[in-house]
Amino acid sequence: MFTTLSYLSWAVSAVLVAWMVYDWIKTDASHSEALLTSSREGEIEAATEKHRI
Amino acid sequence: MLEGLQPLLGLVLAGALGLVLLRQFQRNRAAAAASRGRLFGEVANLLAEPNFQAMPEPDHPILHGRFRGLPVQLRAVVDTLATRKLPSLWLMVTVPVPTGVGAVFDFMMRPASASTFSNYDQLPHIISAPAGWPPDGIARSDNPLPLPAAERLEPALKLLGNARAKEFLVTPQGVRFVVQLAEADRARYGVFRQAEFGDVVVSKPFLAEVLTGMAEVIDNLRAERKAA
Amino acid sequence: MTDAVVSSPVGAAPAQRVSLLRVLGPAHVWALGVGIVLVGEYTGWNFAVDKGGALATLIVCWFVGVLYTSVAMIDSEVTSTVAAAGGQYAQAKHIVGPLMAFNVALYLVFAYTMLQVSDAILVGDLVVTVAGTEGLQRHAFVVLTIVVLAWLNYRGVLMTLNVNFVITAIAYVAIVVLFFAVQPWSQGTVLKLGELVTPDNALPYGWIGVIAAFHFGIWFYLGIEGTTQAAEEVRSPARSLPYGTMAGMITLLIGAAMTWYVCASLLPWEYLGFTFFPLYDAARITGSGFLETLMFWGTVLAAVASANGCINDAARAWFSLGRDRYLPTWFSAVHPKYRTPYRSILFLLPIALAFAFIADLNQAITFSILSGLLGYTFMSINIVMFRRKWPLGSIRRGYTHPFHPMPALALLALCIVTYFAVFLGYGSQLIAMTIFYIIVSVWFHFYRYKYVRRGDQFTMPWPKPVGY
Repeated sequence: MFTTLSYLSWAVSAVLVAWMVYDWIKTDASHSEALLTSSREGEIEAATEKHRI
Repeated sequence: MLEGLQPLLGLVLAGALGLVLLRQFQRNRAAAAASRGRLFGEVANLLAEPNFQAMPEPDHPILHGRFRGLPVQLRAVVDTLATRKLPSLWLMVTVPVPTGVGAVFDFMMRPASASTFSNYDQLPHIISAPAGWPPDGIARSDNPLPLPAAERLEPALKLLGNARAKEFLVTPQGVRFVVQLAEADRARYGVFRQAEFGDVVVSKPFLAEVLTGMAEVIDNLRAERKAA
Repeated sequence: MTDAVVSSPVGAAPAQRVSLLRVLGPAHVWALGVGIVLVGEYTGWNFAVDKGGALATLIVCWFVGVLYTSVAMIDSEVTSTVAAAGGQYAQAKHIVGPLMAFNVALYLVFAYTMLQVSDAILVGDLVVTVAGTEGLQRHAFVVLTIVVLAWLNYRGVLMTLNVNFVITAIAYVAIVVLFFAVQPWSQGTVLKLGELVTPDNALPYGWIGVIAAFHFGIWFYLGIEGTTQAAEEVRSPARSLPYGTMAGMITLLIGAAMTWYVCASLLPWEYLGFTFFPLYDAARITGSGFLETLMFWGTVLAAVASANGCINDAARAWFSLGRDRYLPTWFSAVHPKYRTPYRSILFLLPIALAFAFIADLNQAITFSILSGLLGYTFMSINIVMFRRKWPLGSIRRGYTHPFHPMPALALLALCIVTYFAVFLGYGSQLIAMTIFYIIVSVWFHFYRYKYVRRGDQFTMPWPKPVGY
């Protein structure tokens, strides 16, 4: 049983690492370096989107 | 027989624990979302035309509105990125109107750790703050020459007198005041690096003072621009 | 000016009263003393028994524990004075300089990365032992532990997950339960301290063994500076910080004593000296399935909590190095959605995994201890420089620790003894580590220093230091 668990562990680890690497590449590709290393909230922007409540 | 039962028992316990954690997680997500919704509960009627901009979890919604005719944005930001420092919940009060200043004036209190909610660290020049401003804050700018006159920013001094005030920012695009709403619970941070702030509700009289002060600064800056 | 920023009836309370309560509530005492550190009772300390025998370990445990109060006191003074910035990294920037700050941050990163690796190895090995399956290796579970926690940190999940304290308290409660379950008041029933620790084997290597035992004795408390250094934005009345720290220290001292007593009374010292999980083994000897299961979960929980804190802190330290340009600013990216230092987390992940494969538990612990020791050595030098550059009265200190420079000297003495102890058993590792830090310091000085914005390093409103 534990042997199965160990295979499962390898599988889960591989999936999570793949997910992280994929997310990292995706994030780096879709945002500029300047944006990632600076603060987006730090910029003052006029509101572009409004939802009435 | 008992020998073989033990790992099974262990697994069952693990599974039960996992289920308990999962259900707790779901319940807490709902509770946290509700708590975030209540953050601006008391101050929404301070603004004219209040409306919420929903943000993806786990961000707080942004409250837009108008105060004395000026557009206002209220945003709460969770900051967990400072090393060895309790996470903070910052309130950013922004009035995004053109101010006509020639350069950015960013005054940050206690800038000893990285400020990831602000672009303060990216500003290249350290400038001396006007006389009378709090000594444990440091001002920065992107261009030290065309700065707004110190007297115009005076109403901000009162705001910075609050022990939890963090940043006062004046840019050509608007004015912002950042204050700490809450700090993470030390025990939960110590054990699991959690950012647990409890139920936080922004106080109405406090926000009224902040908005009044900021409106005065903007009036001053506009007057300066007209005079120039 | 209205001082009450929030109006929540639940959250807000008069600042004075709350800060003391916030530190001394039972959950907080536990968290302060425990967090990253409790895992030191579940593993690692017992390697000191191999170095010097059971009695040596007890001596070292108390000695190191009492001397760790120096760490706590010194740290409280500097942390309470350098406002809004936690950790020796920020302190080094202000009191010594960028090169020292760079080194200090690296000490932190490596101490905690290796601690994380130790935690993962512990979990993996424990699972393999419990499994009892022929040929099963621990690597799968070690990797799983590291990767899952890294993923949780990448996504920032645990920051919002509200884990019930009852569950997390199991790790400490388990030790207490075990202690009382073995009827410590009646030696001979379950505990056989008199049989297992005799005058012959109490100090099998004599007094040099006691020195050698310092190597691992420090593991009981390593990391406590991490919990005490979590700085607040606005310095609260400083009295509360040392009380909380002392409470945490006492919690650990009691835990260490109980752990030693139970383990030395149940396990023969030769075995105690090399097992990976002394408490679990002690529980197994009692024959009680309940105790065994309790210890299993206590070990796993302590290790996982510790590893999580390590990944969190190490990644943020690396991130800070990037922000300050001590390292390429590439590392200072913040994930736009999860708001975590994702690149730093990902960068440190393969390093942790590599060590998890290469190193054995005692090697990983030794690496961690060495980096921690360097941090403590810095701390003792730092406080002396701090008091000399800004003497008492020249700046406002939140807390002033007594008997200066005694605690600093005591700390320095402890460090020197432990370096020597490590050298006795792991001389090559000590030398390798020294060479490593020399190389990175040289790299920093020649290649990186030009990017550092020197003017930005000093942010405190302090007067010019004495001598400038």
